[in-house]
Amino acid sequence: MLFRIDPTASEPLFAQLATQVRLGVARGDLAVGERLPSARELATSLDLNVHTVLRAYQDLRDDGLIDLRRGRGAVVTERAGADFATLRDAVAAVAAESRALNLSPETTLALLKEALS
Amino acid sequence: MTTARSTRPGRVQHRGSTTLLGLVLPLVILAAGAGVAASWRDELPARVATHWGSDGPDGFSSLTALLVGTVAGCAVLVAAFWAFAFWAGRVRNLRQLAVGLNVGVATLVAALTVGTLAPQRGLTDGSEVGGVGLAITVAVFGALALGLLVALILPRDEPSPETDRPRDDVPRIPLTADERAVWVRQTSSSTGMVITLLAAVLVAAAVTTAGTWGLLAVPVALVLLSLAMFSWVVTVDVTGLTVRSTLGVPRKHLPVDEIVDATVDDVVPLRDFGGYGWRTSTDGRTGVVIRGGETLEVRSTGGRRFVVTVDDAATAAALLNAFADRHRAARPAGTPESTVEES
Repeated sequence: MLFRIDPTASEPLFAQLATQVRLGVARGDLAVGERLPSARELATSLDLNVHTVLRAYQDLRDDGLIDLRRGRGAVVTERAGADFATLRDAVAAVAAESRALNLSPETTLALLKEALS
Repeated sequence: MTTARSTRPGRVQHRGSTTLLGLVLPLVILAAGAGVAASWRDELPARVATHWGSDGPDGFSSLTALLVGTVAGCAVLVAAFWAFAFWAGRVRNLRQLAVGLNVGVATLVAALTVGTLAPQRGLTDGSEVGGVGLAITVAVFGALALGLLVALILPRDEPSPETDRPRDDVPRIPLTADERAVWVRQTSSSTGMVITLLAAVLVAAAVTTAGTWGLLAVPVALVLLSLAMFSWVVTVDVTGLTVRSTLGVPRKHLPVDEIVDATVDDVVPLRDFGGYGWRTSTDGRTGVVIRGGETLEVRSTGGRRFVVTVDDAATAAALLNAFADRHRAARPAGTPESTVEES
């Protein structure tokens, strides 16, 4: 699982980290029962404060994506394992269609955002 | 841009300690064991017991044949492993393996020889001797402890930083200058674990039946080994590549400043590495091989090549190459600190 953080972006660091995990789950990179790196390890590797990582993990737990258990670390839950395959296919279809129509990524994103609001 | 300099096989380091601890020490241990046994020549029966079955001794030979067969045979083995480490030991792990094995095997053979001959002094025939379970237990643990100790005190590889960027044709993950990234992945082999655990159960059953309780430590060690060898966490971050067993040790770190490039490869464990676990292949690659298939291969300075069998190795390789690029960019080729260190 790849975690990327950009300190120059406007989004807070903990939110960036949480987004990475959500994407990982939706993409299928993170399987049910898979253990995320410990907050301390992740903080060291990404040169972050350990509380930043813990805040991201708590957000993810509140969303029901991970379980936080003392000694076991952060584990991806069953709920996170909901089948995202259809969604992934649909996203791929949207991408293919907008490419075929020569639609700019910005326009496609705007359409998606409108549909989601 | 060329990587010819860094991929040339490096000079083998620390040949002095390899010879002292990997050849002289084991031979001294063997000679001491043989010397003690030879000094008992007059007290020992003409045919000494050399092999024990479940109900007492069942193999016999003369003292001379025993010493020549085991001690001299072991000395030949020691010399062979020392030569391997002396001429091909570019990586500390390889020297540790050869030197630790030599000291361990020499200790085992010397201790077994002395330990099984001691109770036969004053007997008229070897068949009168009792069991030697305790001597075997002491010899096994003494050998393990000494071998590990020597492996741990062997000197580390000297730093040898790389100055060129990875080859242009290896993939990179595009990172902005400020972006931070880490890739973490667990790699484990349930087949390997099941087989080792099964072996542990069999050994435990055999030990319990034979009543040699001291050897129960063997199945315990097998369980630990299976945990240590068949489940690993692989981490790529700005410091380089870290591969560590789920238990915490063993652990291997390749610093980013010594990494030449990273690629994805396919390995067939038995064909390429002769087995599973922490392996060394005949072509000089070392690493963690716990299944066939997708493998991360990292080349470091001095012709060192490290592999680890892990899924999504392409992402790991691309991130390592990106970090290597960034490291070389921060310190342009031709002006590095390494030339200062060498002068």
